[in-house]
Amino acid sequence: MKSSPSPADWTPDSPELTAFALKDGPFDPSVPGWAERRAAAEQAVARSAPLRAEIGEIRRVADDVETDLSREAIHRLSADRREAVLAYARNPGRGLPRRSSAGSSPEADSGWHRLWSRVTRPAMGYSLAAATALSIGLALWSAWPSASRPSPAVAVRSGASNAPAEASPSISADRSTPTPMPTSASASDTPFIAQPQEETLRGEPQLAWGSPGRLPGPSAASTATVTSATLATSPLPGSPASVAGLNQYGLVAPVDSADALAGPASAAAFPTAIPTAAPAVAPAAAPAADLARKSRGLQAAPVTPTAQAKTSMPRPRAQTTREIPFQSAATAPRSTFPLKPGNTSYPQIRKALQEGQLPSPDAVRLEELLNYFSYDYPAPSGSDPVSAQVEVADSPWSPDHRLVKIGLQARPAQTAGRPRANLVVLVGLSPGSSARLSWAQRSLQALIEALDGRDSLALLIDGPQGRLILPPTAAADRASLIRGVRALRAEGAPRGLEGLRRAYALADQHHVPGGINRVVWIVDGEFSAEAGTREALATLIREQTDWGVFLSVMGLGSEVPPESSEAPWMPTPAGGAYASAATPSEAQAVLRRELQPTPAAVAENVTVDVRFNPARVDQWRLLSQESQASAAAPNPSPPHSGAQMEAGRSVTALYEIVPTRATDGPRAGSGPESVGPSGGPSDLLSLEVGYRSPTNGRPQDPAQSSPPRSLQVGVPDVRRSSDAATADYKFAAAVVGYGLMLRDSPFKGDLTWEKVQILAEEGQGPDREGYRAEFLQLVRQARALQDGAVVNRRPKE
Amino acid sequence: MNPSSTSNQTNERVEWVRASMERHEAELLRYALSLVGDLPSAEDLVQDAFFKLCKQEPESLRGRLVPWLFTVVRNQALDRHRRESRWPRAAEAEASQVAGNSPTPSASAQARDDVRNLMSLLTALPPNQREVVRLKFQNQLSYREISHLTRLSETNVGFLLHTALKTLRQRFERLDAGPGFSQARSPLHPSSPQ
Repeated sequence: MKSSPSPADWTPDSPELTAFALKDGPFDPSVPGWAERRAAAEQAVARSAPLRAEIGEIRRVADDVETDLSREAIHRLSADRREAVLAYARNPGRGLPRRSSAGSSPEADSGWHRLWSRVTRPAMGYSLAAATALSIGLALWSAWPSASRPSPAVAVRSGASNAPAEASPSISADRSTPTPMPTSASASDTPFIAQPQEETLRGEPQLAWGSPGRLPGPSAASTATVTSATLATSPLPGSPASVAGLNQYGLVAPVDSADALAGPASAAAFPTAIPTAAPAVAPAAAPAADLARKSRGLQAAPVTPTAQAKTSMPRPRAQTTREIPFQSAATAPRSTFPLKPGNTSYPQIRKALQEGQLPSPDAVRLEELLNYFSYDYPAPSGSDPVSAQVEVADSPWSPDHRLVKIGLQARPAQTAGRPRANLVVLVGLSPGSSARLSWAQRSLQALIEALDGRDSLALLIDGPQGRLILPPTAAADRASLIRGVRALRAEGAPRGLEGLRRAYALADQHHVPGGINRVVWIVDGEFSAEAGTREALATLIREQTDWGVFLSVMGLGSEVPPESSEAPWMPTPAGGAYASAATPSEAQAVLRRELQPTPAAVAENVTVDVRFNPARVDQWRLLSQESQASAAAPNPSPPHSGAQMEAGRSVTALYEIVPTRATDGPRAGSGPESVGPSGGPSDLLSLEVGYRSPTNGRPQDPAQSSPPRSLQVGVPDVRRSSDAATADYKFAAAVVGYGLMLRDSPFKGDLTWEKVQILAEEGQGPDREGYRAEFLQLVRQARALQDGAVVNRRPKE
Repeated sequence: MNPSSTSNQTNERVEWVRASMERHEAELLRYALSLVGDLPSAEDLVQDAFFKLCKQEPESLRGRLVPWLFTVVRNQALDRHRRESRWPRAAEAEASQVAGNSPTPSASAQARDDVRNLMSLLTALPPNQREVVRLKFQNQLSYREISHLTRLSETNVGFLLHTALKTLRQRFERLDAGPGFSQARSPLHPSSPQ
């Protein structure tokens, strides 16, 4: 692009602007001089609102196109075609072989002509294609190349991509008419589906990863100058082929071994060539991945406001979730609540309503709804890393009850004094997720832009032959980091445990004492740790967390379990964060939120202990779905121990309390209660938040580690109508009340849609981000639906 | 060269080819399919590319395996086209698929409508734009790699992508506009049943 106009002369219709938006062409970081060009372009763009708007549009369309294209059916070569290639590879001395597809009719000239109309449909009926791809994938699983075998390293992106001289036609002249793919019988007969290889694969995973003791291990400083060539061709020691694909389709899906063994059989179940079949399109091939069109047509899904990383609250999937019932304060005076509730319930509800349906009651989880929104809590004062705010009023749906709103707020991040970060990103995406890979890449680029020069980043691919893409490299060497991100591939068949071990080993090796040491694990919905490794995975994460290396898990795509507890392989990472993102914009937002400021823990080993005063409280209940680690347990063992609170995070819980009969607390004015030391006999409850100062690094020996501290709050009983409560309180009550209505909860008392709507309206507050207004809209929609009225789908804009 | 080292080399080559197939066959098949429009032909192209790969020295392709494979597939497709003048078939075939089922009011139907919509919109693009869009957004090739592969200048690649995105965007917008919906859905088949 020699004669391209200078950025100052760009118009929204300049092709250069598209290149800039896509970070490609002259703005490809691997092209010399890109940094200057980019700087000039950024200046020009900063001055021009139309250019900025155009860039947003270009990226949006690019995302959509990419997403849609990624949903196209994935095809694989049939087993006998592959075997024919491999047979030829064993003895390629002779001329090129005839193709193995048998039974074809001759006459090349007429073959193609007839074929396209007679035989095919390019995307071949999505469902069939998907089934085919999947079954072939399953069949091939067991034939995955032995991890321990050496093979030459080949890498791409050196830029030397000249057209091969040999890329000429010669062999097509006598080509017979292409035929349908081979029969399933031949697929299952195929000799290379061999058990021994599978054993090798599964038996010696560490070979694929290199042993942690033999990591290349250059120091962050020395790797700051890693060149592109090094990046592209640095397989792990002991690792086999490092064939960096330009694309990402290796295997269809990682499967459990049982499924793998069933592979050939399931291949047989899907005849692979059905020339005349109507293109029955099934969702399997087009996993309603992102709602690309929806985000264009309906609205961009607002992402979770502020805080909550999502973890904890294990919940059986697809089972009825029960609300926690009332407990007697006499027998169960203590409770706790999770610091990091999930955040998926609200988007699920929104999606259902947008489709004109009421959400399934199981999708409605009170604690998640509540914590989808942020509330205004005072920042902690003094040396406390966490503040607590409690507000009590009469329950809007059972005026004899109290509704207690508890909010914890962690100290906001101090960006200036942020400690050095040592990040290791492990990418384990399945093949066929090119769009997701590209979301991840884009989000990682944004992350890189936010890193300090002192920070370091490493990139690993978790695949059948896990590869180190970028050794820990100082962020000052941005070009290397960006090249590394671009070299990421979805190689398929992520191994989970080995990958994570490897990532932890790298993080350990470059551990920054007192810094932020974190592994970021990017997976998609097709990942599933092998059953036998789950325990080990859990142990590993726990050990490393104790060791001061934290984990963030980022699930991409709508098939990703919205919560860690729903991914059976995913042990709840104490002290880590789990986030899922169903759309590209959500992915970026989640990564931005989770990673960009790299939330440093302001408190560790945080425990929440709510004690009810049996003299004032007859029964209580936490407004939440039941969980295994339920607060319903009478005496919760160290509640949510090990959880950390990251800078700026907040969490909100609501308790409904049945006061003892004699209790008729003093009338009180409006406003949340100030918090004082606990222990008054007239208190309704006391709240104790225990924590330790973060070590953000390796724990010192126990004698030297920071002493446990705690924040104690006594909450006096007051009688106050909910009408007099703060806007935040009303809004929180509206949100939970909304959940109760959607669930048709037995605990909803005299709650009505109208009351929910009034609470929501009165609780709007400043609503700077517009989330509360959207909620109000959802209340109206749900109300209309439940009232049996016909709700028009929100028209596409 | 003793027999065992020969057999080692053979094994290495077989493993290299096997790994290459596993990594790249899917993307190559998608690409080939977009060029020739039917799966068996696409499989032929891809299988042939791997046959040719067997004759290559891994060292000689170090760093450019994927562009090499794409180029082989592309050149073979071009050659077939020259011989058979069938190049435009892909577009028609893509379009024929668009006029398929009528949608059902489920989310999955919506999702697949989206795919079909995009396919129909893509189909309406000129072939060179269509190819570049696929290479960029489906195969994740860079401008430079696309330029090597298609023998277009990088500037030209940038222009094609720019134009294609612009067109797609306008059509997406029309698609989302509501009325005129069914027409926008399937530009090549304005009267096709929906």
